[in-house]
Amino acid sequence: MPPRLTTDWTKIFFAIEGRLSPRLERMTRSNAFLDAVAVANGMSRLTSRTVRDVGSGVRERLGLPSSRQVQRLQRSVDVLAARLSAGGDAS
Amino acid sequence: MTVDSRPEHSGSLSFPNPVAWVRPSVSRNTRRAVNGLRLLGGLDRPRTGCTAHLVVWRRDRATLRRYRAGATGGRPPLLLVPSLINRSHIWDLRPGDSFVEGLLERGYDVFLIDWGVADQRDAGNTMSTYVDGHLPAAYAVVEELAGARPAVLGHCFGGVIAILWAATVAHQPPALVALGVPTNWAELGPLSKITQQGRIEPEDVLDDTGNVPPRTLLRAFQMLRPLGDLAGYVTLWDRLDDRRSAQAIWALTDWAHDHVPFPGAAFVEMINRLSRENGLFTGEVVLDGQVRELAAIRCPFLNVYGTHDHVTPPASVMPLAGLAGSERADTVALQAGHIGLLVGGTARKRTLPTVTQWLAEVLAAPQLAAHAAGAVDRVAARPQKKEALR
Repeated sequence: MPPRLTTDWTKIFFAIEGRLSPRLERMTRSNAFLDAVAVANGMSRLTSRTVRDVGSGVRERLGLPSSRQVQRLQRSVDVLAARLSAGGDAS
Repeated sequence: MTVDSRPEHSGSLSFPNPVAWVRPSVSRNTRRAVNGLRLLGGLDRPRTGCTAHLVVWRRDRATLRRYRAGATGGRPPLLLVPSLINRSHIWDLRPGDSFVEGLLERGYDVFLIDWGVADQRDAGNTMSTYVDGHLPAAYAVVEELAGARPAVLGHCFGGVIAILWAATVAHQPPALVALGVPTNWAELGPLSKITQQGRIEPEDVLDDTGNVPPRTLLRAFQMLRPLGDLAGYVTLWDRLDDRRSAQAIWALTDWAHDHVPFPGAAFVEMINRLSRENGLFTGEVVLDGQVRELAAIRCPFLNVYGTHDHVTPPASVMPLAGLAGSERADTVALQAGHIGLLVGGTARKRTLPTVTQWLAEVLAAPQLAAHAAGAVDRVAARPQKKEALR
């Protein structure tokens, strides 16, 4: 049967995807890739923590509420709400 | 560029006739544009989780739903246990494509425990919070409301919770069904490998609230199929001219990208107990200082897995039935993916008939068997006895 070129780009995509996916999936299971993910995760955490700490420090120096203060306050409110709820259940 | 063979073309290399190609192409692309704009504009987004239900119990963020939809009393109750990391409406995705709807049609009284969206108040929730706290409490409510002990169906991590609970309690459910439940975590691929080998400590992925953020979960799942999202969008484009297909794909894509935070303490425990110690595969999981032995499960047990499952691959799920101590423990392989077990044509034609037929047998309810028998796809479902696995 003679071959016919397809003009449907979705068929072309899925043909390429079918060949490429197994290779990419093998790659994501390789030690090198997992090492890279671990390093990227560590760097990302370090960067975001530094940015957040610097930002919070600046806001606190300016006398403005920072996100970590709001979180601390929120935690206290949650603990209080839980205590009140437990007290209500007991009574 | 791809080639395909078509008998009607006898030339060595032929291109389509431009006039014959342009007209349908314009028409199809016009429909695509209209449907695409409707979806993007929010005018035609599929409604999800539509089956009528009542919230009958609540604790912290968890709620228990009872699906009524005109159901009469005296039906055998079923408790559905979704995963902790996704929204529960995957069990009731859209009208006409809903596992819950299928169960109601087959004569069950359906309950579902919705874990809700974890926030910083839930960061300290351990696996025991769900295994020994929320699930048994919800189970007791179902038993009280339905007047009978419900059979339990768990999907993915919901199945893990249900199995560990059944391995703990003397008061066993009449039947337990596990759908795509990760058992041998050494076979889970990159998700477990990265933490098993100590590259990332589970505490390293927690955010300020103390939970695993949804975007981290999404990225982890995207690693399993690097081109999966792109393939999904191309499929959506390809079927955008068909309104119903586009809505179905949109609903599923939207759900798949809508993870909820995973409670931090439960995540740390999951990595240590289930992934690093591979506790489920060894048959013993220690939670809250108590050993949970899978051999202690005595109720009839069905393990269902998808042969195309990328999230919990067959090699990870297959051993489960062999670890339970049940006299009747069956394993069924279906030609489906992880989510295909619950939605779409596979769920309607294979999972639902297979599960309900099995339930009817073990619950010894002839009226249920009559409902289920006609629809069982015996070609797709390949039941294996536990003995065959050992």
